[in-house]
Amino acid sequence: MVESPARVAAPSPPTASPQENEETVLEVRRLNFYYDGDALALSDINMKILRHRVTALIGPSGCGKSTFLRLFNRMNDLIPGTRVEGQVLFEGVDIYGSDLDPVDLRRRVGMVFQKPNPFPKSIYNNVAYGPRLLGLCDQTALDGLVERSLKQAALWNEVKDILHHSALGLSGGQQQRLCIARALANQPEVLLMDEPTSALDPIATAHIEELVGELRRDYTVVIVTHNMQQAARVSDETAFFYMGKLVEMDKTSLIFTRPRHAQTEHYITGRFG
Amino acid sequence: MARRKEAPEASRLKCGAGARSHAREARVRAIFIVSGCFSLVVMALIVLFLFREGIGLFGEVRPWDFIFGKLWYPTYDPPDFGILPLITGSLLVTLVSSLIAVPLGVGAALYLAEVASPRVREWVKPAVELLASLPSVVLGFVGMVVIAPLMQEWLDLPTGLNIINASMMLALMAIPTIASISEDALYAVPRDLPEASLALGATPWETLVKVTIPGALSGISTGVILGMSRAMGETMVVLMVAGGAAQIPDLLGSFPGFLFESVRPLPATIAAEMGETPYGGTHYHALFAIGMVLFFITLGFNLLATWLSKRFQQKGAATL
Repeated sequence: MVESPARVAAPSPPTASPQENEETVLEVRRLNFYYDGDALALSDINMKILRHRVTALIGPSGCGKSTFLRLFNRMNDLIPGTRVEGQVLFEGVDIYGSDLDPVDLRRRVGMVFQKPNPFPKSIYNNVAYGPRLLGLCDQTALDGLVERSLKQAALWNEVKDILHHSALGLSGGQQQRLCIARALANQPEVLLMDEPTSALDPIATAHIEELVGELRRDYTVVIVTHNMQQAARVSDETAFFYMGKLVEMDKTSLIFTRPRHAQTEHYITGRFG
Repeated sequence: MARRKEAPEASRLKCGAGARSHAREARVRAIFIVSGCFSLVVMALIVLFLFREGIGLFGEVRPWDFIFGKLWYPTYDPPDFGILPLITGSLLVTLVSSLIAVPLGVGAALYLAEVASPRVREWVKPAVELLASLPSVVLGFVGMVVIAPLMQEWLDLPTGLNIINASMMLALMAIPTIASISEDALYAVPRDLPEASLALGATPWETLVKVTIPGALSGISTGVILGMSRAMGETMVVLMVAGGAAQIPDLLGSFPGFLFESVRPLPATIAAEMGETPYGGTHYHALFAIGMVLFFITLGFNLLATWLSKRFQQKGAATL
C-alpha cells in the first residue's frame, strides 16, 4: 500500500490561498483510535481544520470518517472500551487532556446527526434546550435566540406560526434543519455534521447543502459525507479516508481535479466505495 | 433445478389450490376468535356472579352506610356492615407500600437501564423478575415469623403484625413489577435522543432527567400503577401480616405511630370470613359487596394506568 500517506498529507499549507488568514481551529496530531481496547479504527492521523471553512470527510463505508468526526466532541467516550492516543487540539488545548470537561467541549462543538433526532417536545423547546441548560431563562432573550437560530437554519419562515407544536410533526428535512438550529442555539464555534443528508430526499438535501454554504460565514463546519458530489459542492477542504487512514487532504478543488494518490482518484471516479 | 420448480406446483394442486388454504384461514380465525372470546365471557360471568351475590346486601344495608360506616361487626346482633375501616386499611397498606416500592422499583430500573454494565444487567434483571415469582404465601410467612417478632421485640410493640410490616411485604411484591416495566420503558427510549442531548452539552444527569425519563414516563407510570394495583388486590400477605383489626388508625394524632397499628384490608376480610359465614345470609352478601368495591378500585387503577400511558406517550423518534 501507499507508504504512510498521512505524513504526506500533513504539510499541505504551502499552497494555501492568501485571501483569508488561515487560522487552525482544530488540529489532530498522530492520532490512533481503538475500539474494544485493541481494535485499531484510526491510525496515525494528522490534520488541521481551518476556521470558517467547510471541511468534508469522505471515504468508503467503514473507513473511520464518522468515528473521526466524533472525536472532536468526544462522543466516542460514550462507547465503552474505546481508547485514544495522540492529541486533538481545539484552539490549542488538548481536548483529551485531563482537565477538560467533555460537557463544556460539547457546548462549543455542536453536532448534527445522520438521522434527524429532534426531541419529542415542541419546536421551540427543541431549540431552547441547549440555552436553557446553560441557565438562560430570560424569556425575551430566549425568544430572540430561538428566532435567530431558526433563521440561521433557514427554517424560521416555515415554523414561525407553529413554534409550540410538536417537532415530530415536521418533515424529515425540516426536522434535520431543526436539529441544526438546535445545535446553533448553543452558539458553538464548530459544527460537526455526520452525513446530515443521508436520510433526506433530494430537495431537502439541496436545502441543507445551501445552508452549509451559509453557515461557513459564522462557523467552522466539518461534514462527513458518502456523497462525493456533495463534498465537491459544499466544502472548501476535503479529506479522504481509507481503512482508518487519512490518505490525503487538500483543497476540495484540487482533490477532485488533481488527487495526488491513486486511491483517492479511484474512489472519486467511482471505481470503488 | 427443473424438479425443484415442479414440486410446489404439484403439492398445491394436490391440496386443491385456493379452497384449502381458505378453509384453513377460516379455521385459524375461528380458533383465535373463540380463545379471545373465552376470557371475555368468563370475565363477564364472574362480574355478573359477583354483582348478583353482592347486590342483595343493599336490600338490608343502605349503600351509604356500607361504604362509609365506621364499624365492621358482621357477626354481632345487630350486626354492623360498615367497611370504611377495611377501605382505609387497604388504601393505607397500598399507599405505604407504594412509598417504599416506587422509589426502589424505579431506582432499580434506572440503575439497570442507565448505570449497570451489560453483564450486570444480564444477571440482575432476571433476579429482580424472579422476585415476582415468589409465592405471596411465602412472603406472608416471612413477614409473620421473621419480621413481626423482630419488630415486636425491637420496638416494644403490642404486635408486629401491622401496617408497616404488611406494606414492606407488599412492596417486595410490587418492586419487580415496577422495576421490570419501567426498565423496559427506559430501554425503549431511542438511543439517539440521549445522544442528541449529550451532544448539546447536557450532563448525563440532565440528559436522564430531561430526555430519557420523560421519554419513558408513560411506561414508568404504567408500571407504578400496575404495581400498586397488585398490592391493592393482594390477599395472602395482608391476611397473614396486616393484623386483621377492622379499625381506622388515628392518622393525625399519632403521626408515624399509625404505621404500627393493625388493619384489616378488603381482600383479607373476604378471605378470612367467607369460609365461616352461612350461604345466602347478609354477611355472605356483604362479603360479595366488598368484592364489588375491590373490583371497582382495581378497575380504577387499571383505567388510570391506561390513561397515564396515553397521557405521557411521546410519539416515537424522528420518523421521516
